[in-house]
Amino acid sequence: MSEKQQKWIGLLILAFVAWKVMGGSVSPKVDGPLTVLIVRETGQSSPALARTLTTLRNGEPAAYLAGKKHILTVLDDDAETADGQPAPLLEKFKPYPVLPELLLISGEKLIHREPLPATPEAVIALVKKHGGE
Amino acid sequence: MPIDPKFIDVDFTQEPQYVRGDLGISFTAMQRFAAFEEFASVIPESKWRDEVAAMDAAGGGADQLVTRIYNQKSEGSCVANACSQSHEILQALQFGKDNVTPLSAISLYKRIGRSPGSGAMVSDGLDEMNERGVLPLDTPENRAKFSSAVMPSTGWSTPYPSGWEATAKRFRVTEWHVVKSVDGIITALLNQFPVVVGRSGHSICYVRPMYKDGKLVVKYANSWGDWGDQGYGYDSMNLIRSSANWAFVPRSVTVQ
Repeated sequence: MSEKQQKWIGLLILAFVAWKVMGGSVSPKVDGPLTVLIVRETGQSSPALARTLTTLRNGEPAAYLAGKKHILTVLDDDAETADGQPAPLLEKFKPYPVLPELLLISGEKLIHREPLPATPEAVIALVKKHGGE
Repeated sequence: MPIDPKFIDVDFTQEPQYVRGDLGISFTAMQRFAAFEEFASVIPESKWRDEVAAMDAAGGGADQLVTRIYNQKSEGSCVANACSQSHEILQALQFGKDNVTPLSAISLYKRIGRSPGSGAMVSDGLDEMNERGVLPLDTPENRAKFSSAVMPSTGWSTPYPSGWEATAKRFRVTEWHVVKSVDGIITALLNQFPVVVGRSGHSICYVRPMYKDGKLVVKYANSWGDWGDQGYGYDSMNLIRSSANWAFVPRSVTVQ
């Protein structure tokens, strides 16, 4: 390996370490609209959670999601279809051991899930991190 | 925005140009339905002011999810209107305000009332919303989606379209509770659930707790069209207490 190649590899390693230190993730970003699914138990709601959800439906967060054509769906973990069957979107990604939970889905593929962040801003930041800017 | 005092504690019995129709709750309903207070962590009064302030700072409560004000016109269908309003609020939360399917209150009222002006019981409204659901409102957008399985907002004599049941069951409430106390009502509202209540023989949909001159009031969506404060009114504690005799909290609606 030439001295020049070694220098480039060193720079790349340094850049990667700096990126990870700044909170980067190895999950690749995906193109196109995401399904942003929030699963919760409506019997265990809280005012703070309610404020987060309603804020995501109004104002800047809602405008951002709509502008990027991301689809936000908020479901109870027991949500049913018309026929009383479990909602297919929930079935696909169960179980949900920790509620409320945020799932980011691209097409049919789950690209990220974690406990729902505490603020709408943090939810939007995660969406941007994994998809639309 | 300041609240005009004339919209606080409106006596519905003194509004002769508008129709009421809340017959209360069936004798057994309070026992049949699970109580909200037994499931939720009831928020004590000492915390209401801080929680309301946080709600105000965030832009509001479930009132932000109201997409339209109903108008029951000359029929006693307030219960069906308040129930349908609560369903639309939950649709807005679950699927987004742009994806709300407006509902036909008369499609519900025809099953829980006995005549155009008879009124209905709130408990019957919730039972029907859970068991058979509500039809979409007759609009061009809904006709494109649901063909003829739609109904107008009013019109007792309007027949049900054939096969209406299959479409109505797509618009059911799947999770709900009865509320038995003022603390339960305020807790539900702080959690931004709509609360269907009845008082003075009229059913309305509570949407947001607020403070006016240091006193708690609750904002409600009425079903008298452009009545009151652009369709809304406000109840202070005496009337909230009266409403706590029979109140319902729908929590979740069917997924399309």
